[in-house]
Amino acid sequence: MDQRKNFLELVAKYCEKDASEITDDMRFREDLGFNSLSFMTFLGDLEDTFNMELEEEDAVRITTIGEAIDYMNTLLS
Amino acid sequence: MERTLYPLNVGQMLQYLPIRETGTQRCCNISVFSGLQTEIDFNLLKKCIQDEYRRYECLRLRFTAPDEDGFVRQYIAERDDRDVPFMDLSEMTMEEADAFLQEKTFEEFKDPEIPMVEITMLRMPEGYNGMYIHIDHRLVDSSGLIVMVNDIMELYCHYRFGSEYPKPLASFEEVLKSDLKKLENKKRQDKDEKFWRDYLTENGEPIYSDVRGPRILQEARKKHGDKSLRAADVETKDRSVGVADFHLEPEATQTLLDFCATQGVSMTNLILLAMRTYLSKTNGGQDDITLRNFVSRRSTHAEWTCGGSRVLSFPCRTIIPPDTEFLDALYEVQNVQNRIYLHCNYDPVAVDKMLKDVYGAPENTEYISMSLTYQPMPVRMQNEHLAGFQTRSVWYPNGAATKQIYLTVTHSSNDGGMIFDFHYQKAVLTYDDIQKLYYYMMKMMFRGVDEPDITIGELISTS
Repeated sequence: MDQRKNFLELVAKYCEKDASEITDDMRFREDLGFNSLSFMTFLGDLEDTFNMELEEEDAVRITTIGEAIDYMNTLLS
Repeated sequence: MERTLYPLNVGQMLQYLPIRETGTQRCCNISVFSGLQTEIDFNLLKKCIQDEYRRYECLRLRFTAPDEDGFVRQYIAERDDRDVPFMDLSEMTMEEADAFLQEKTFEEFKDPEIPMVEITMLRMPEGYNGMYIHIDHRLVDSSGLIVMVNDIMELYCHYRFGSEYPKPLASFEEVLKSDLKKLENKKRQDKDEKFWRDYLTENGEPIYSDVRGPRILQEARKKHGDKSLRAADVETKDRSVGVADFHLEPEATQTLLDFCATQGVSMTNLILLAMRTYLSKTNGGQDDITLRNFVSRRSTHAEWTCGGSRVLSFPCRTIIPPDTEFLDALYEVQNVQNRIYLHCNYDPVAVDKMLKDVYGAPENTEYISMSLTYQPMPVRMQNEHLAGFQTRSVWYPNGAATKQIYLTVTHSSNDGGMIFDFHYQKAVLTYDDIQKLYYYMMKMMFRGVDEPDITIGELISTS
């Protein structure tokens, strides 16, 4: 649960939304205003925050919050 | 009062290095007029500017004198309660007023520990009123400047029309501390360093390309007595700058924006592709081209509103064979840029040094002749109370061109079209060279957008 909360708080830093307003179906670019630079920077932050290694090719295909959480859970499990 | 001293962040350091190299702070100046074609209450504007000195922490940055190694440190002055000067240039022609402000651009902030910004309220010809901002690039980059102008005008609208008081701006000091902490993350640094080393070596040594064609590299080879030299000499003595501005109409701009949205690519990458394709054309179809892309590393909300200079630049190298379709070439540029963005916390100065160390190119030679910065946010008065007025934003060149060609692309504050603002070294290039470059860039971009499956080879041979 904390992991999800921390993830959403990290996402919230990148957009003008509160973590509680962010839902799984939201898309990084269209709904949360990420661009290429902010999305790639976010991935780097994600690695540092959760101490994990992302596969770049998989990570860039992520479009929604839900997909990102699933992907993160797979890596951390 | 004890003050906390901090090193420059990597973006500020990138701005500071030319000061060290040229011995003049002038090359680090940004000077802009921003105004509206309407009457302005200057007493109120003065209050808003004074408020901004309190709200926007980066405006109170001071730099120490260089230490024995030539490095400066910075701190934030607690207060800046100075008066705001006013000048009336309305009796001049616009040309005279611009020439006057252009001259002011060359004024240096020479001494250590002094304010590095001056904002002057201005009455300009043709009914324009606003402010002239003369500021050291380490305090703000273009995004930071736009945030500041918009914030001042939001304050103005609050006091004048009762609109909502603008939200606080992020603390420069807090974001700086976070940046410095990231630099101490050994694992991240190692990973970034490995990426850059691999990136710079995976395709061997880059090769220079120039809008004047392959003769520039051939001349360098002759001069250095090295037939296999892949870098060419850069002009370091005469840095006088030429400016060439071109305006792309709103409808044409919209065509490009729509294409980018449909294909899921950024405007930066489309422009980079146009630049590299023109270089390829002028260099006998050379498929290996390296450009320099400047990005303002602002991703989080705090980074967007903290000011400071967060502009970093990295080499963008693409090898695109002539049989590659336009759209695939665009995705290739995008892939390279995305890989770079993932590792753009790394110090760009260290990347350039790594490139030098790996290939040992002679002093004052380069692989890159063209640089790009794309600024998606217009200098625009966003408040509804100001929306109906004609705006005027003029960026005055600081007189020193440290790059052979530096293209800044912005969106016009008046009509939403794009402005292609080329700064070039007059010692080596002419206005005609730049006009030709712009002409072909447009021709190639629109042809590619119209026929995304055209190959780069066809595009080059038929443009």
